[in-house]
Amino acid sequence: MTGDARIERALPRILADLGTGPLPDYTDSILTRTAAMSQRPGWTFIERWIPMDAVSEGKAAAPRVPWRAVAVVALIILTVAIGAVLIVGSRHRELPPSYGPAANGLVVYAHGGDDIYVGDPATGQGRPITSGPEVDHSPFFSRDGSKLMFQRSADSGSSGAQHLMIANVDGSGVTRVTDEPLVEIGGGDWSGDGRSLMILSSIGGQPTMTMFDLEKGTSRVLDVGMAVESVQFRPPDGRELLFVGIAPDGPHIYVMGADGSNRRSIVASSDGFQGPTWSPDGSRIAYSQAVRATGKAFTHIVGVEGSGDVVLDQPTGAIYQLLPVWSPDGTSLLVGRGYWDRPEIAPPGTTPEPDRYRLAVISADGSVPDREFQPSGFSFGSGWDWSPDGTKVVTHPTDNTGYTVVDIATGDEQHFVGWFEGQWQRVAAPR
Amino acid sequence: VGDHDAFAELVHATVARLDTAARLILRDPELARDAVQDALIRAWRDLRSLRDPDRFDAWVYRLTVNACLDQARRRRRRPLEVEVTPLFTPLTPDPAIAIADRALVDHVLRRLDEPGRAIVVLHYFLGLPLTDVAVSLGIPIGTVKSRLHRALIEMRAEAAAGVSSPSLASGGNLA
Repeated sequence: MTGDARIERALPRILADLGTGPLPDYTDSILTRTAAMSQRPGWTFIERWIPMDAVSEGKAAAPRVPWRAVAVVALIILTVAIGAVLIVGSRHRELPPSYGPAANGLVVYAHGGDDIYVGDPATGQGRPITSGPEVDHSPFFSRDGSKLMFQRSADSGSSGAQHLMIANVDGSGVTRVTDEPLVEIGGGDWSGDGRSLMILSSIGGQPTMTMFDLEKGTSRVLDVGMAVESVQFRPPDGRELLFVGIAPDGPHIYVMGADGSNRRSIVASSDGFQGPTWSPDGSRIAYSQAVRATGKAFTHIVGVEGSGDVVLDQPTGAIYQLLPVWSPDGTSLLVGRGYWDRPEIAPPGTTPEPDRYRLAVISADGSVPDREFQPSGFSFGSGWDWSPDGTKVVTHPTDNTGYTVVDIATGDEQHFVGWFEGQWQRVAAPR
Repeated sequence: VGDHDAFAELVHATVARLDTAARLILRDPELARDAVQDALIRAWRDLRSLRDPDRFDAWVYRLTVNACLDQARRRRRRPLEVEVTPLFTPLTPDPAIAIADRALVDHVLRRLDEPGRAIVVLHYFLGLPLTDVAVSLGIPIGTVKSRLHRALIEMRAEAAAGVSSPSLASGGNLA
């Protein structure tokens, strides 16, 4: 078992230990107050007029669905959608390349808790992709920007099991990919040609890869005999996979054929890795690794066969920079950077930073000085991504008040409504 | 439901757990006390809205978390009026928990903002499924998952980097 898993398993006990104080001495005071306080009459609660579950559990336990009526409506919607698709399809939309720079399309986000929206950062306008009683979340564009994969909570979300769904970006063609719901989905990736999905989920209690062939409607479990932490198709053709596997001797970054053949370890570290990711041309891998001896975590770039592992410079006061995302042109990385924020733990000669989190754009070859940004409300809990044209980054404040687009050249910020949890759609550059 | 004696029983059964959760989220025992009192008074006032007594725990957890977030907002609005209380230490720390692990989790928890802590506390301490955490906080489940994931990544990074140094175990200021 890794140290990570040990701490995660111990978390409930550690939290209980940390939070435990003297037994609350104010219980009697509360009860004295409540005994003298009248309750709101039952009729004033909306919950008394509609089924309680619809309120107490949000949409998780909506009233029984009239499937026959839904089927009729769905049929009508499907007919209209097919007609619309035929009309729109006849115009033959041009698609961008699956990797490398592209033009900026829409940003996908969640809104209202259970539905997925796309928004146009150029206009600030958003529209729903999904709606209805289902709990939809975790959207992810295909590489060519034409489709969205998302998760839909199965059995009203009570079990945590999720179905994989795909839809066209205009919201049409919503299709369920999975026959049986998946448990503890831990990420995944689209293949460059959009024909396959590789998904991590718990199978037999172990995070395991499953490949979904969207054209054939089949799936295949890729069991490598160890827990897998992240997985990505190799650009451009997806014939190989990049993943972190927890081997008996510790975590490794592996590259392997998409059919499970020719697995080789690229880097190994008992301290683990964060976010290994392919460069857009598939020739390099960026990852973060903690180094116990220095008390820091660094970003690395390594060749596809483990050659030339380079540690990227980071400011002296930075404690770590994690979760690198390659720029579309492969020249830079976007990372989350954390600084020492307290004198007692800061190394000698460093200045503690009270606001410790930054987004940093760092040059992959060190040829261009770093650029740091601190978007409003940014913290390590935020997600981040590049715009497809590489001129902007998108992130969100951790208070969930919206998402923020930062212009890399000027540092200007634009703020939009919605919880950013996906990424930016790639579209073909106008001719 | 609606009977004060029954309500008192429920309060006695849950108040310590609520107090612990509020302390973890707010990192301040006085604010935690206020939040729990607000939550339980509201629970009594609105008890008739609860049709299913089996849902009392989940319901009162949600009320407590919301009261914590309200307290946190008030604290931000009036930063000079709040006396920052030193970090409390448990009366009887669990000897089975390594000091370094405890310090590490304490360290990372203090780095998170209140909504981030609420996610960790609801899921790992109060044991709510992620879907219930999302409903309780009124945010998408994807956001819950990604924030939890990042909190764990930070914990892992700092654990691997050995950030949980002895100086951290000795306490520290509020982030």
